[in-house]
Amino acid sequence: MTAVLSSTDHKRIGLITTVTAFCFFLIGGALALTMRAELQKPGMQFLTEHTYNELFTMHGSTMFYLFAAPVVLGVGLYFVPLQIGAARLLWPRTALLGYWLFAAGGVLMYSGFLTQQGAASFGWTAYFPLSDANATPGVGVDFWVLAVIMATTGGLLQAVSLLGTIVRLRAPGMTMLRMPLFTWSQLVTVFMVITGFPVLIVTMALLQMDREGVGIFSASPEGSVTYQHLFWFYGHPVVYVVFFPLVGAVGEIIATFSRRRFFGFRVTILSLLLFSAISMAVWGHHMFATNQVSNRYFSLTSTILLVPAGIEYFGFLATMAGGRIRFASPMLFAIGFVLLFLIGGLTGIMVASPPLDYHVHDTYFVVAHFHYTLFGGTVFGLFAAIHYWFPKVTGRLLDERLAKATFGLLFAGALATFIPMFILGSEGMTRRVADYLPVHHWTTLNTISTLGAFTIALGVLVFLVNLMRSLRLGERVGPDPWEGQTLEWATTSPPPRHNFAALPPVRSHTPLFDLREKGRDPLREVGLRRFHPSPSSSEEKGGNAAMEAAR
Amino acid sequence: MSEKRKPAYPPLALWGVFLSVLTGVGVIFFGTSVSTPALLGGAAAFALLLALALAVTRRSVQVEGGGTDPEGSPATVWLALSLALTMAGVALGPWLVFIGGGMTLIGVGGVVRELRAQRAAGRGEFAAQGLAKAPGLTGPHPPPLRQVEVDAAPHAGGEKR
Repeated sequence: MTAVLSSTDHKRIGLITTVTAFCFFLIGGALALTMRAELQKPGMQFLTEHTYNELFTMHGSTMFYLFAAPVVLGVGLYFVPLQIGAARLLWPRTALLGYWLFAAGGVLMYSGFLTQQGAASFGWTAYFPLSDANATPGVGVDFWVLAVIMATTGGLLQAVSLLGTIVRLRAPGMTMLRMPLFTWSQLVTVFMVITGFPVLIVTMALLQMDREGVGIFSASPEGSVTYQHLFWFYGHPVVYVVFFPLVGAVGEIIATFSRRRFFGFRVTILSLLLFSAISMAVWGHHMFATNQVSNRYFSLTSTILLVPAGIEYFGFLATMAGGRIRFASPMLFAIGFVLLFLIGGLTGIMVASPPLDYHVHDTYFVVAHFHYTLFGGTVFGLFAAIHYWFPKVTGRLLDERLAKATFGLLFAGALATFIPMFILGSEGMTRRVADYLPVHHWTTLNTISTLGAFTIALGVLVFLVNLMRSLRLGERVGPDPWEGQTLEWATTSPPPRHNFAALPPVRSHTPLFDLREKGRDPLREVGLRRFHPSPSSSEEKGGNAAMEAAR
Repeated sequence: MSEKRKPAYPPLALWGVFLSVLTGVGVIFFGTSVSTPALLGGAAAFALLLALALAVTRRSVQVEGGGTDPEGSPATVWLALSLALTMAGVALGPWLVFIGGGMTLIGVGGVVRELRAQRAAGRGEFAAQGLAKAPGLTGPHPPPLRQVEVDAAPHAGGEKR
């Protein structure tokens, strides 16, 4: 275990980052279930208002700082070097340092619950002056601020390592335009991380200084608006940080399971660059109601995000349109991503309009909108990636029936939980409140939402059972169970310490697909066997079972 | 086996240009407040400067690519946990800052020692410097990477279905 936790192998760093982040996802999810149970009917059931404030603060903080951002970087640390044909990560100690800062930050953040005044209770945004030492005193709040600095610094370090790897360690022939879609999406994510994350780190350091009595934001009446500018300059791009890599992963899954190349690859790359650049210029839409930003400018930038997003969606659909689709579990999650994220994207256009935003600002409408981007985008994208790459990481397949059950429960749960929130928000139910009055007649919608949340929890439980079962009993598969298109499938499962014994020639972003088009078996070309037999079955049987499950 | 690397800076440069255009549009056509050009323009300038740095530091591809990474780096873990203690000390008191700071210095020393040993290993100087038992240096050198020759004809690009 010590060797794993101090390893400089990019696969181990990526894996422990992903697993740790997923553990935080489970904790954050438990907090959400507690809140949903409290909100199921009017009146305070079993929480106090202060505890509720702590729960929604820690839920949001966990999901952003400790789950979503680290998990996408973790997946990137594992697969980007494999996809570009690199034997290792550049600056692996930097990435390892990043992991430990993130993990220690998580522990510190939750240590707030052990302090006398409890954990932070001002929302994951820590708006000033709500987060100053007068409004929210206590060591637990200090822990929160310091933990955010640590976790964010950890992510920044890992992103720097990824950037260096992409720049310096690509295999021969792996030009920038021959990098796979997932690696490209990681690259643009890294751009956002290295420009956005330092701003948050500095902002949180300034906030802590202010809490210690040094007048920073409290020195001026405009300090609170300045804080919001600084926070949202990180806060909006991070929403894209947490789903962009999964756009790339979903694109590759759709291409692989449609048995064709991704449609419009180069245009999609350009759209990713444009999308990420514009996403840096939309933070002011979180501040429409302050009347302290140019609403017309930020409304424009927020709306034109539709253009690159539309290009990517067109790519998804056009790839599927001409393909021979296999509806295996990774593909189902990818389609779920496309559908649910669409709801989040379209409602995002609505709140990009200042008049509509004034109406739904700080209501459950906004909660529903960003949960469709984060749950529909990040969680469904992550589940698609996990089901796709699990055989590469472990050499075994996840059970397909349990995987499809997970998909069904998560998809139904996502609709049942968040659709009612749109209606509740439109009717005026404000977010971050622990209670509501019976006269509002919101009980039915809240009950549906709560049932949906528990359906999601059941789906996650089925996934965990599948994970545990498949790690021990899953069907053994060879290097390439899906007939993948990119280099990570040209090595053993799991890959060896330095990833590759041999690489196929790289002449496009789909080197394995190129070989198959020429009638060659990519695995045979690099000296690998198509299927590794399980100890209890013949090679023929193991191979057929794996392909059957895949198809 | 090495070849000249294709440049990696154009995407970052293009991204910096996009940010610059967005900054310019905001300032010229919308009169955005000073915070907007300061933050967005700063990000644009940073991206362009980094792209410039990448452009002037191009190196050849290392096909072997494995370097001499150790299997593990306990000193890095020590360093991270020391930094975490130091940070916690900000909230809990100077006593913990001092303890964490001292541990951080030890951690930095450990990392430096690992790096020196790693460089020595890279130069094949293990035996000469008596560093064979230095921590974290048990990692194997990666085998030379072989790139198979299948068809010399270059592929037209990524768009072909």
